[in-house]
Amino acid sequence: MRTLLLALVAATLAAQPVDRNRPPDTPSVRAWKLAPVFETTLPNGLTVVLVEDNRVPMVTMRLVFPCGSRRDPKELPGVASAVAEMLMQGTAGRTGSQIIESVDEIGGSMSAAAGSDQIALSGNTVAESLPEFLEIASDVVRNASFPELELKVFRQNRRQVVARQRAQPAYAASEAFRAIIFGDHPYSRLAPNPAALDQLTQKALEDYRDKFLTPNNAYLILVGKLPARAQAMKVVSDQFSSWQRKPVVEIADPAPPAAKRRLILIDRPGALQTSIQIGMLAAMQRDEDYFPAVVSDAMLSPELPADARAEPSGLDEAGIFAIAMQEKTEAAGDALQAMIGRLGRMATALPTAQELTDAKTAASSAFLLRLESQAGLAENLALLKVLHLPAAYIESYTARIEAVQPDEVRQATTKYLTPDNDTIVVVGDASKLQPQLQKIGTFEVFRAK
Amino acid sequence: MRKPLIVWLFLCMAAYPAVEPEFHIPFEKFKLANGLRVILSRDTSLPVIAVYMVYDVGARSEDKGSGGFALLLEHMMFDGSANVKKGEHAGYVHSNGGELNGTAHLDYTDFYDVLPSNRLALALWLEADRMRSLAITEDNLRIGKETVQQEKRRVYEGQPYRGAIADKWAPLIFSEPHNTRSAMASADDLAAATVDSVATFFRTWYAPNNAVLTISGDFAAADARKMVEQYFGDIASQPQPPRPALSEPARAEGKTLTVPDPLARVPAVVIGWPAPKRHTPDWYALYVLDAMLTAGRSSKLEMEMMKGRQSVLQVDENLGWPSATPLDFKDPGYFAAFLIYKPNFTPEDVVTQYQQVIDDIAANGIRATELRRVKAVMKLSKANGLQSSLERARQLGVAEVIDGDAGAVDRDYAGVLAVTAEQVQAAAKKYLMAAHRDVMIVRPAPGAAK
Repeated sequence: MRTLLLALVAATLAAQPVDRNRPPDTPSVRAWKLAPVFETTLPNGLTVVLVEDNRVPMVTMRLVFPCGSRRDPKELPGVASAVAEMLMQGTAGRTGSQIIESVDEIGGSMSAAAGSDQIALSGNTVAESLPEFLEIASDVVRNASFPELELKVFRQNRRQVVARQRAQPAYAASEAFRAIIFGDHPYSRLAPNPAALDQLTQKALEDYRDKFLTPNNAYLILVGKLPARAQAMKVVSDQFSSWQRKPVVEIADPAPPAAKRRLILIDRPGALQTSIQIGMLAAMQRDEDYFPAVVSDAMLSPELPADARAEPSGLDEAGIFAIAMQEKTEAAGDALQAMIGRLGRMATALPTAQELTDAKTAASSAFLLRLESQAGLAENLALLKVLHLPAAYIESYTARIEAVQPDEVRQATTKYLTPDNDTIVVVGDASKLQPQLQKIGTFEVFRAK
Repeated sequence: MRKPLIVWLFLCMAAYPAVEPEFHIPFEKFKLANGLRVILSRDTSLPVIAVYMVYDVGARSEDKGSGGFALLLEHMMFDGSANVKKGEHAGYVHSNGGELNGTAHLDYTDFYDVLPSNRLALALWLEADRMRSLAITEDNLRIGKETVQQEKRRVYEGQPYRGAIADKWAPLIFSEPHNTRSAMASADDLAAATVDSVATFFRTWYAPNNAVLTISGDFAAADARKMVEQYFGDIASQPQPPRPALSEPARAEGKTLTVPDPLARVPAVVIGWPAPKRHTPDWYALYVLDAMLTAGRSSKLEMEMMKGRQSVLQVDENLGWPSATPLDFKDPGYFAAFLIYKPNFTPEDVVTQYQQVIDDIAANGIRATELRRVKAVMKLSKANGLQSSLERARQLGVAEVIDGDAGAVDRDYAGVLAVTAEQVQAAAKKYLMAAHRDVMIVRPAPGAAK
C-alpha cells in the first residue's frame, strides 16, 4: 500500500513541470565506493598498492619515499629536493637523455619531486608497457648516479630560482611564517641559502639515496589497467625484488613550539604590494577535528579577496591553517583588520544552516572532482602512506565532511584561527604599513633578506 | 529489424578503421524538437558530472560590424539571465565545489560546469536560463566591452609575440575575409556595438539549433533526457545562421613578412604551410609528422634545434597552430611552427635549419622506431584525455560541432594509428616544401611605437 502511494506521488511529481524561476532542489550526493585497494609487501619490505581502473588503457604510478626535506640534515638543507631533481639525470647504465628517450619510446612519462614529507617518482604509461616502465623506474631510484656536470648546472639553476623566489613578497612571507611556526622543527625551512648549495655534492646525494631510497622505506602505488593479479605481482617482483633492504633510520624531530601570538613586519621599502600570512599550527589530516577545519576553510574561502586563500595544509607531523593575502600597500592594514574581525566572528557565532551546507558541499565536491583521474587517486593513496592516514580515509571523506556539526566548525575556528594565538607576517613597505598596523598590535620589524 | 542492423554495422566497419575498443568513448545522441543536439556519455565510477555546452559560433562566424562579438558574448554569458543574477552562475558552481569556464575559439564557443552528480539539474537550469534569456542590457554591454578590451590588452597587446601573431599571421596565410580575422576583437566593431546588434547576433548564433549539449559522467539516461527536455525543450529555435564559405584558393608560392614587436626581447619566427583537408590520410600523416617534431621530451625539434644546434629556445608547433589542437577548428587548416630563437642566429638560419629537418624526412623518410615512439606518445596522451568527464564531454561536443559527428573522436584516433612511415615521408614532400612556405619574422623593436 505504502509502495503504491509512493509510486503515485512519484508519478505525479514527474508529470509536473519544473519551476524554472528558481534553482532546482537536488538530492544529496549518492554513496560511492572506490575500486578495491590491494596491498601487499615484498620480502625486501617494499609495500605494493594496486588499484584496478579499466576505463582507459593506462597505468599511473607513484613510487613514494616518506622522507623529503624534513629529513635533510641540518648542515645540508635542500638535499632531498636536489636528489629528486637529479634522480632522472643519469644512472649507472643510462645517461639523462637515454632515460628521457626510453620513457618516451614506450609511451610513458616520468618525473620526480620532493616535498616536506616525501620524495616521489611519478608518471604514467600505456598499459602494455608497464614492465618496461617499471624497469626504468627501478633503475632510476636504485642506480641514480647524480653526475657531477649535471649537478653543477643544477646548483647554478637552483641558486637563481631561490633568489627569484625570495624576491617575491609572498614567498618571503611564507618563509618567515614557517620559520616562526615551526621553530627548530625541519618543516621550518622552505629553501636553502646559497652557501648551503655548495655542500650538495655527488657524495652527499648518494648518501641520502642510500639512506632513504630503500625498499623498506618505499610504497609502490599503481592505479590503472593492470594485468591479472598474479601477473601484475610478477611484473613488480621482476623489477624490484632484488633491491636490498637497508636498516631503517629513526630520526626524532624536535616538536614545533607552542602557539603564541607573534606579529612580524618585514620591511621592503618602496614595495607597492603587501603580502600577508595569518595562521598557526593546526589539525593534521589524521586528527578528528581536521574535517571541521576543512569546512571552516570552505566557509571562509568564498569571502576572501580574489588572491587570498585559506587552507589547512597537511603535513605528517604538524598541520598549518594559514591564510595568505596580497593587498595594495595603502589598503593592507584595513584588509588585515577585516580578516581578523571575520575570524573573530566565525569563532563566536554558529554558521547558519545554509552556510554550513554550502561549505560542506564545496569541500566534498572539490575532493571528489580530484579523484576522477588516475593521478588524483594515486596522489591520495600516496598521502595515506606519507601522512599515516587510515585506509578508509578516501572513501569516508565525503561522509565525514557531511557529519560535521555547526559547533565543531566554531570550535575549529576558535582553536586554529583565534586571533590570540596566531602568527601574522606582513611583508611590505614598513614606513607606510606601521601606522596602519598600530590598531592590531606592535609588530617586530625586520629588514628583508 | 536484425538485418538492417548488421548491414549498418558492416558499413561502419568499412568506413572507419577499427578503433581499439579501450579508446572508444560510448555515447548516445538525440535531438530535441527545437534542434538542440544532445549527447549523453555515461561513466559511473564517481558521482561527478560534466555539462558541456558548445555553440557553433566563433571568430570566423563574425562579419564586418560584428568583429569580436563571439568573445564579447562569451563574457556576457556570465552576466546574468532572467532567473540568475550577475555573478550568480559562478557562485552556484563554486558553492557546490565545482568548476566552470567558457572560451571563444575560431569556430566554436564553449561553456562547462563540472559538479557532483546530484547537481545535474542545477547545471542544466543555469545553461538553459542563459540560452533562453541572456541579460543583454546597456550596463552589461558596457562592462562586457571593458572586459574584452582589458583581456585584449592583457592577453595580446601586453605580451610579446602574441599581438603580432593575432593580427598579422592569419592575413598572411589566408585571403578569404573570415579566415583572416584577427584573434583580437576589433576595437571599432566593439565600440559601435549596441544592445540591438549584440542581441541580434545572440539570437542568431546562440539558439538551440546551433548548439550541442553534452552530459558526461554519472547519471541515469532516462532522468537526464527528461531534465534536458524540461529545461531546454521550449526554447525557440531560430532560422539557421548564414555560414560563410571558408574555402581558400590554391596558391602558387608562400610569402614572407617581418613584423617589429616592441615587447619582444628575443627574436622569433613562424613557419607554416596550408594543410590538407581534415580527416584525409594526408592530414593524419601530417598530424603524425607534427607529433614527431614536437611530442615528448625527446622530440625531433627538441633534439635537433634546441639541444643539437642550440639555436632555438622554445618551440610551439602543431597542425593548426596557433589553435591549441588540429581538432579545434574547421577547414581550411594550417601547419605551423613558432620558434623563439637565440639572437646570435639570423631568421634565415633558423628557417633553413627547420626546413632541413623537414627535407630530411622528405628525402630519407623516418625510422620505424621513430614512428613507434610517436604513436606511443600519442596513445598515452589519448588515454590521459579520456579520464575526466569534462575531457570526454569536450571531445564529443567539439567533434559534433566541428565535424557534425561526435563519433569523429574515434575516427581520428584510428586514422592516426593507421599512418605508415611512407605516408609521413610522402606528406612532407607534398605539403612542406620550401617554395610553398610562409614565414613571419617577429623582430624585437624596443621603443618602437605600437
